[in-house]
Amino acid sequence: MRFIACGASVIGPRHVDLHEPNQDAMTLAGWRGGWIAAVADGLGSRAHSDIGSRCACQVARRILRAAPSTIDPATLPLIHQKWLEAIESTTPRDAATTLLFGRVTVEGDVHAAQLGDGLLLVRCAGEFCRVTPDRTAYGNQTWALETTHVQDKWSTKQGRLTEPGDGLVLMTDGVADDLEPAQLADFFDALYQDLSTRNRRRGRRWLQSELNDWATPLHSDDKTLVAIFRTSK
Amino acid sequence: MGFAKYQEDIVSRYVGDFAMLTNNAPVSPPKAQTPPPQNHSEQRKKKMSSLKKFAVATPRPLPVIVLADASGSMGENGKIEALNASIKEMVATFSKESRLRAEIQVGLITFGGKAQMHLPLVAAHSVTGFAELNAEGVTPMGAAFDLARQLLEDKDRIPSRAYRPVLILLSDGQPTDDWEVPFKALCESERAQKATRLAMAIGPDADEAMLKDFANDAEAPIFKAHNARDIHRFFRAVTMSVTTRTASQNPDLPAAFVVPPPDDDALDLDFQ
Repeated sequence: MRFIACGASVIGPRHVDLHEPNQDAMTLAGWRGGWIAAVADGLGSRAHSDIGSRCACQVARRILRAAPSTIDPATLPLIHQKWLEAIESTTPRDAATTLLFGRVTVEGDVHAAQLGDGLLLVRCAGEFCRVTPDRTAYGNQTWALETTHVQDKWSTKQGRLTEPGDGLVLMTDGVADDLEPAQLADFFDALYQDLSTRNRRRGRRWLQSELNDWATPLHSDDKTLVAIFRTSK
Repeated sequence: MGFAKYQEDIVSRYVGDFAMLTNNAPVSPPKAQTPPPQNHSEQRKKKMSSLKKFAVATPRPLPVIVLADASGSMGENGKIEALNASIKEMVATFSKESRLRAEIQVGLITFGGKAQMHLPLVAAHSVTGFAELNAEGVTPMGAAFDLARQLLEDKDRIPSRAYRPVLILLSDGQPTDDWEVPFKALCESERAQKATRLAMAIGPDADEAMLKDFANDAEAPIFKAHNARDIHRFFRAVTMSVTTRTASQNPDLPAAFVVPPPDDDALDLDFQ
């Protein structure tokens, strides 16, 4: 089975102006013929959220690499526990971050989960699905990795990529909040169409340019997006 | 990792190669009307779409909703005139400064005789010809709370991507309708309760206890306006707080609420 995987993270205009670091983080790594991906968005109001988001991605990658073929419910508290250990130089409050991750095996089995803002999109067997629940309040009010693990605030998804164009897309709210909700399936498909015509390096460059030249007026947030698609029968 | 990367690069090399893509092209010659073939890079560019068309074309809004008492008693001692001038000044300032990190939107709900949406929630820079408030009738504050809650709960008018709204209540008297149930509904609504609430008591007859319950911003306890100048000062503090938020790193965080000192040279009479 063949996949195309690509990701990019760009600093938003607000942090560029303030000479501050990217508070988003991402990881994308090959794994036994499949892929592991994670994106995290450190809470803007917290002092060390860049550290929190980076550690969250690193921890997710490490744990997903070692996890058995099916990810059990104990994985989520384990990620939280290991994240707490990883950020010991600061406090959970200062490092609070959202986290979205996904793993695709060489057979096409998908396991994905999300805590907090952002968007997790999955297409399995040709069926598109938005895993992220609807937001009940306003922007930037979100659950996050912090002191306590809250299992029921995680959204999870399992499935199998069986067709070309099946895949998963993870993104932080800098992108997610500015997407037309009614066009998410088209957005997913457009990403597949574009990325499947490029190699990973060119795909990343294209994605970076798209995120840097974002069309929404007054956009300011950091933007991160990772996509993994199946490209063959 | 090695295998996946190797495999992906192989796929990319062929899928990304223009010559391979043209293998799927129809064998029949192009129709006469079709333009002549372009060079490879132009054709390839044409095949690629942009993500821009999926992005929302409007900025993230920061709604500011004013609940203004326009009952008959507001017609005394120049209160309604001060309120009209203050709101105009606030909207004018927002319209100049709302292009930083968010689009400031302003809505005005009045309660004087009846509760109504005096100014629908629109971008401050698009407000033209603000119709001045007239003081008349009783004080149906409960009905105004209902209107505010309906507005805050409406995802079409205030989308989920909006920054946390600011709700400002100002009154010079006691509500004349059943306000407690609508007030409870506003405070308990899953969405509406997330708004930042500020309050101003105008004159000595205002229901300060209720206004204190309404305010939920730790940075801004209830403000008491003793004269027309105080109404201006309150709105200047609101303006400063909101514009500071739009320029800040995170417009959802409350900004300091600092009421400017009174102008000692100005002559003004306290509300009776």
